[in-house]
Amino acid sequence: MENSNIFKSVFGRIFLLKVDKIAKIGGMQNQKNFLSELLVTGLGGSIGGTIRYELSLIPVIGPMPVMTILINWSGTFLLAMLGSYLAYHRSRLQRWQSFIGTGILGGFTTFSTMILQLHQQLYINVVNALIYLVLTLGGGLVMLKLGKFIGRRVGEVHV
Amino acid sequence: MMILSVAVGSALGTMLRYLILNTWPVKSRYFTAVFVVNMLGAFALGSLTATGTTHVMHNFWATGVIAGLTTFSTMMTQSSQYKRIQQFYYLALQIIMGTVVFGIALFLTTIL
Repeated sequence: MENSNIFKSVFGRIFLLKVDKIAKIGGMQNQKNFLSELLVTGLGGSIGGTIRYELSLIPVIGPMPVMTILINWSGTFLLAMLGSYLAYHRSRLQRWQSFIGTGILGGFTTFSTMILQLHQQLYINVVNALIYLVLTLGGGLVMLKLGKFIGRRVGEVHV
Repeated sequence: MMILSVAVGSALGTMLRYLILNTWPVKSRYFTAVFVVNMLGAFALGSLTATGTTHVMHNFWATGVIAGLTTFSTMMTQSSQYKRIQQFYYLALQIIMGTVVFGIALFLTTIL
């Protein structure tokens, strides 16, 4: 009985030490409920990924993958809006930032598919690839500005 | 069934991204955790594309795990914190390195 208790305490101490070390490396000392945060973020990612998959099934005319461009634009817009809104306005959404931002919107937008389609456009035509790149990045920058602006306006109104 | 596999894959990829974003130790302006995540995704998708897209688990890996692992929106919002020229460098570095890494993975997997 005593032995098992000693074993448990020693084992627990080693385990806790390890957890503390890992947390210190990542600067996660302040996050007590790290595991639940991780699981909630995964849930958000599954939601975003499912929406992305459903949207990518919509057929598009022409060789340009318009759906990926729209997905990346809307995800960038919403994430910029969320960040700007939370910077100007204290709300209950603050606790859900990793669920909505990192989970849903981060899982919704995709970088790897964009690179894959850039390669496919390169095989078709160099001009197509350039148009695709400029559309994605330029539109993304515009969406960033727009989302920041709208998020700030909405956040300031409700102060 | 397809939707379920995509959902599970996206959850796994997003959790992996969350872990990497929270534990990436290097404090650099350009080699951020988002960069690492995107390069990992580009490499994995390149080697997966070279093996062929007719596999049963292709949707799970490509549309689920890898596309959930990589992110475009976080890259854009992170780049907006920089000055304009640094933002340009950051985005250009990610796009060019992503394309190069994808090509290398495609090439290596085709050869091996």
